[in-house]
Amino acid sequence: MKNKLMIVLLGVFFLGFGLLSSQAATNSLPALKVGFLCVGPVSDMGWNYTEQQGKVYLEKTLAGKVETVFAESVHESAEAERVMEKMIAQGCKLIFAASYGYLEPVLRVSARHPDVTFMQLSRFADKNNIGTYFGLTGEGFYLAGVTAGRMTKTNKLGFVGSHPVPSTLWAINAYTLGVHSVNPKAKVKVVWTETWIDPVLEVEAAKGLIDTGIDTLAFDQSDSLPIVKAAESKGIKVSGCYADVHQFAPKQWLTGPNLNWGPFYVKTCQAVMDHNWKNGVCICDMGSGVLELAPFGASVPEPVRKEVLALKEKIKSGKLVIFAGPIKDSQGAERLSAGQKPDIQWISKMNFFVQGIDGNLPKN
Amino acid sequence: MLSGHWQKLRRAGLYALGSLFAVILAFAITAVFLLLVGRDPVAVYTGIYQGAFGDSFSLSETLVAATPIMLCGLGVAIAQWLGMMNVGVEGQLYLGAIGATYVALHCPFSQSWQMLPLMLVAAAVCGAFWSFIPGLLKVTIGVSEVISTLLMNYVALLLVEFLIHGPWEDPNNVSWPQTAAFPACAELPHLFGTRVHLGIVFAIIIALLFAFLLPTTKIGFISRVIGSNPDAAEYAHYKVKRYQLWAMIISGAVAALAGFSQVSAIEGRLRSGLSPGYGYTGFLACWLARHNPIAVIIVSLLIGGLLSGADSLQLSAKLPFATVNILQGMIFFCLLASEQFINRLANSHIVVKDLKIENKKDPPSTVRGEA
Repeated sequence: MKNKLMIVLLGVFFLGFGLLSSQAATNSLPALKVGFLCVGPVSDMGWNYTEQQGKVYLEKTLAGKVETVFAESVHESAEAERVMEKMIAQGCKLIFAASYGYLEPVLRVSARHPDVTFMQLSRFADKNNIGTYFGLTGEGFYLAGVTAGRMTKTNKLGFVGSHPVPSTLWAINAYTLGVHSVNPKAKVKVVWTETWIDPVLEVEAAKGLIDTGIDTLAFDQSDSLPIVKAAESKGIKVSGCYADVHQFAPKQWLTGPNLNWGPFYVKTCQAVMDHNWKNGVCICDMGSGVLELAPFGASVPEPVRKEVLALKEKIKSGKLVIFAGPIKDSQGAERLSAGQKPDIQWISKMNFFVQGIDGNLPKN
Repeated sequence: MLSGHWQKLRRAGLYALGSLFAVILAFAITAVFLLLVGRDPVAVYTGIYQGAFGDSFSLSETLVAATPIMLCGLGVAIAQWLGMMNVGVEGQLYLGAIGATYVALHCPFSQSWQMLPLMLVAAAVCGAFWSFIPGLLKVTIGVSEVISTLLMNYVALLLVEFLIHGPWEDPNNVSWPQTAAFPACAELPHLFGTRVHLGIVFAIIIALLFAFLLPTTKIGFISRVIGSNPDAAEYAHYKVKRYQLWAMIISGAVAALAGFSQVSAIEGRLRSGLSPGYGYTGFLACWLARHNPIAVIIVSLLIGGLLSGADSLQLSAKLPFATVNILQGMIFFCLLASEQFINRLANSHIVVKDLKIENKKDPPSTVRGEA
């Protein structure tokens, strides 16, 4: 009895409250409303932070033409489906689904809304309204690897991997190739967290690696700070993965890939507004201008900086292909023959470690 | 002295007013936060209401969010009626999902009428098994079911992780933690062309069934005796332990239906992060509803509305995701705090009466002590 009464009154409260103040906001619609989904908090100083920075750039550059809607910490589950539906209900015509696991919800939502354009990260969908984009950080990781290969003293390097999906393997392999290009004796040890964000697990993994005697750490997690701070406090050299966070490790910071999504977002929005968007593949690497190299840390000596920057110019101009055949996997089998260059289809199916990596892919 | 009937009504009024006050207080405190960051609280709250109950689409999403909370809440309530505290509904939800997934991936049916009932049964059996273990430990050797059910949640989660990273991994997308998509016949029917699915019908039927059975049947009567005083029930030669064990089993089976309906109707596959804490939210819903099955449904609807409406905090009001947590935490905190406060107020009459009874009881023991 008492329960029912309580509940009824609660309900009345909610309803009455809504009725009293139910003047639906009607804004004048701009040309394009863009929705962004990201998997973690934008305060992570990593992947999600770079996405938000890109959104800010987009708002500034196309002010008046574009309006944005942003949702952080959206699970890669049916929750994403609800958030996208709500974005579309608000008038979004373009949605950036910026995490690997959003594809399944995107497929379902896109089928119901053929007039909405979707940009899915790292995965292909053979649908008219779904485009694919890759944040290929590999070239940045290669340069970070060159720096780390020059700086290591123990020749033991550690890498904390997130999910063992192709884009992550690409990062780890590129890093290792970079290390080996200057220091063939070095070994990279890999530990998986199998999550994008879990600060506790990341620090555990980093400490486990440090205990094995590594003196240089790299990682591929959505958030940057837990591992960078742990490395700084333990006196281990560290390179970043998506954003420049050198201020959090003033002594130990080396360098790292640095994503700058803004121009890419502007280009995509412009294409959608001009009605010439196509469901192709956008590769965001150094050549496209999305990927940059973060500033060097104080401990990186001048010759190393010069060497790495020279390599960066070579990569940008296309003279240096970091993944060039012959490439052998850690079991010794040839994956890419001499003279062969990888295309995005090949990269997006990557399922092996290159030689020089000490560790195994999670196997069943 | 108030008569029993009036006292009951007074209590109900106090609870209702207290809860209302608690929710208003929570919104008021959050409003201060909103004002501090320069947002108009009325506009923000209107946004939440619109996002939860504003139109048919929002309402349908609220029902979708509320369904697993309802089933989990009912699971908690069933055990609680017999004095068993089942904190393990989250784990039982995952076991239900595992059972349903096994059938969906391994049984060669092509008809929904064959596939879905079998998935449902498999889910219920798995969930029941998961709550049977702590139930058995409790009634045989007295292991606290609060601790064991809670810990088994983590085991269930790891079991799911093992399956989706291992034997049931999607062969088309190796290394991403999920199973292959279910065949079309394994999809629970949806209602009215929305994402609302049959799970909500299960929840309402179960709630009505128990709301009817509990006060009218002999088993219901015995359950209530056991729930309010197991010692007295023992004294009356009721099979307390057997009843409690069955309550745990049914509790787990009901919670498992939440897992079954999530994988079957919503996700279409088993994946990690299937439940963002539905079990724990259901536990909370059950306690806020004071274990009344009908109230569980209504409280779950309100919580579902809060969960789904809170999207608008991000999407319209452009507030960070943490605001969602602040508001939800504040509401639950105020409601739980108000309960203590109301209990004191409501019992202010009875305390005097109880003291008198205690005084009467006490002398014999003192006499015995002296002798």
